[in-house]
Amino acid sequence: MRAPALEARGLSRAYGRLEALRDFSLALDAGECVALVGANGSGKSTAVRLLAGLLAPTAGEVRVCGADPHTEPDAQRARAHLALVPDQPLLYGDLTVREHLELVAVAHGVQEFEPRIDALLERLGIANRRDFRPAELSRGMRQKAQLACALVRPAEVLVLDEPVVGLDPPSQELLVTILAERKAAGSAVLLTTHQLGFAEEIADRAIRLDEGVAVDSGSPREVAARAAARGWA
Amino acid sequence: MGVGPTAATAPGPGVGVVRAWWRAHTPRPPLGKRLDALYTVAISVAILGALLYGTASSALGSVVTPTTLPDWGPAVMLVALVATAAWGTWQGPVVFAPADVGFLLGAPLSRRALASGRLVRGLALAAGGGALVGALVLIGLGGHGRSVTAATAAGLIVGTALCGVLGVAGAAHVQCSARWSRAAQVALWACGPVAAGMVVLAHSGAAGRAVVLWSGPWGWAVTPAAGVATPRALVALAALAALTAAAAVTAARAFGWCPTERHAVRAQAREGAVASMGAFDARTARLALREAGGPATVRRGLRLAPPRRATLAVPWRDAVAATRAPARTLAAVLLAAGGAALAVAEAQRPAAVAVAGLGTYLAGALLVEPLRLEIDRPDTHRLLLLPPLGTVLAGHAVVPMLVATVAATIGAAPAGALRAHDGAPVAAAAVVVVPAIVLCAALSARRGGRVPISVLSTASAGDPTGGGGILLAWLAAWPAGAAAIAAIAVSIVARAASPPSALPVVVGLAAVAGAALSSALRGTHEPDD
Repeated sequence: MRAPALEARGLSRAYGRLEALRDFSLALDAGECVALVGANGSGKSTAVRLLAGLLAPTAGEVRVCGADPHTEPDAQRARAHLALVPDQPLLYGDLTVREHLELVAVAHGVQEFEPRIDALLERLGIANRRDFRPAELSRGMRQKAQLACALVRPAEVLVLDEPVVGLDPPSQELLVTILAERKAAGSAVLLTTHQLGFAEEIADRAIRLDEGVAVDSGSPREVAARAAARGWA
Repeated sequence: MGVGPTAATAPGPGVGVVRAWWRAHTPRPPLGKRLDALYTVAISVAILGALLYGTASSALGSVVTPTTLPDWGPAVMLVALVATAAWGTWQGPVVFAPADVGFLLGAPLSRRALASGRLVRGLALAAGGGALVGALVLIGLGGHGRSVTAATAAGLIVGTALCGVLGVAGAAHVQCSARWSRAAQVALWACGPVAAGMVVLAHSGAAGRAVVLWSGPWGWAVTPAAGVATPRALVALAALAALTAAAAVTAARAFGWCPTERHAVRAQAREGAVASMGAFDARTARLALREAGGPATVRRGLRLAPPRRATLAVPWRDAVAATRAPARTLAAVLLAAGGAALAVAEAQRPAAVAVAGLGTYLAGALLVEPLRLEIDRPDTHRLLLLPPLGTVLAGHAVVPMLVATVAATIGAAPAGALRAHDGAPVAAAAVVVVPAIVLCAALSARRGGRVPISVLSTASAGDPTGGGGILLAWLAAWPAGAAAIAAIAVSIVARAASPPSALPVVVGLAAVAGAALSSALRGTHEPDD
């Protein structure tokens, strides 16, 4: 049996006295999409950062295609497999959109990336902003640039933290289409959102977090219905 | 072309490829521009150096002497080493930009290779800084017409430069490891008493002095200028060099496994601090850097019954704050006690007493944190307290003055007992000025962390030094005032023909200064008045 593309076991994280995530487990297979849903402060972003290796867990372990993202040099292998789109676009002030994509391509050893970058920029509708710097872009444009950076490189696992924030409805539809293509191509996709409608459109499964604990899981429609019954929608 | 995950990748891209791309896309400023900055620094140092050398030489010459260096040098070096290493708790030598965390640290690149350039630069700067400290010590050693041999000068500069590198290598370890961070915090606390013990031991005689000099790298670094024979000093420097090399090599390895989180928090802290410093807001910058050290531990502290009298509300609030942050209170107590002890022990040297006054000022600056919080959020007192802002701020000075005065008394008493004939009046003089010094700290805190626009505009418009002089004067005014108060008061008593009869004069002067400063604090107006 093939190991999950992304796996977490008993993952916990505390900030001082606050337990932001408690005993969180997840197994995400290739070609599958899971949505982490929950209210603000429920632990979604903490979970994503732990899974991506940006935060060190207080307890538990993570495997990205079998590699531990928290222990070098194994983490180097994990980083080669996992692409992250953070909730806040973090871009260099002095690089253009195109240069950001080039840097990612170079850092990940992508060969002949020029046409790939052009196609990606065109598809995301930011080709006419390719030579703009982040300060010259709107929030949504910066979000698209950050998304392009994650898509320009190969990744078996794609993790997106609140990807629809700042995106207009047509861009959200495009995002759904692109993520569906990545799933079809065999990538595992994990995303966080507090928009259950978006999760229903793309995710195969949803996990609802509350106060750092996974309180419900199932199909996005079922989870949304149970959440609505409890007064959260 | 689609955006699927099947693009061809090369096996393991190297950091060199990324560096080459980076150099090609973000060219460095032209050589002329870089030399221009270097020229400006060099010419400023040359002009200021020529102007200040005489004063610095005289002041350093009375503090740093061939006698005081072996006694005080290792202790000071120990504190400097530990403080430099503890810097890794908040920053450290390898700090990336926030975008680097996603783009470079998020790529399958060797962490060690990514960190190596920054680490080497940090170590080189540390060597330069250490050598500069060594040069300043040499100015003191050569002051008042004393001569220093070339071997001593070279040995001391090499020793302090190596110590600088060792400190920064230690900071690298602290930066990379939570365990080292905790150890650095403990060491930061322990090094004060240990350094004091080293001074006492060095004062006790030749054997004690030898033990201190050979007790570790802090002593090895100063052996060339501490009267140790050249061959033995060379052995000490060789040991220091070996230790420093080992620390630097293991520091480079440490960055190979440094967790991303530790890089990320430092990157964000530095960005916040740089933005705050751009607005000349040192307090916000300090708070941003403190975030990188992890969440502050808030202790429950003692339960103090609220006072019945309204006038005691603010002092009660400050007493609660002091018990909630025992580390800060203890640091202030140690500084005030140490400052008073130093002032009494070195009462004949005004420069040393001024330094002691700065220690007491720092104690006051730590204790007036609740006053700073009042200034940070000026609306709070309007909602929670009835009296005008000036009265509230004056109330915030009461507990700091009491704590610092008691601590200074504890520090001054034994030091006074060790003096031959004028111990009691000198100790009393060192204590009676403490309230005035704490009020200096309170008045400085009242200004908030941000340099006022009025000062900035004056600095840029009317200052022949290009603004630096006025800014420096603004920043140094209250600490300098505190140092002057301590130096004048203690010197009057220590140099008087009859110290006991000079004491009432000092008490009177301290009372007048305290009343004037307190009145200035009470006169604080609302920001929008």
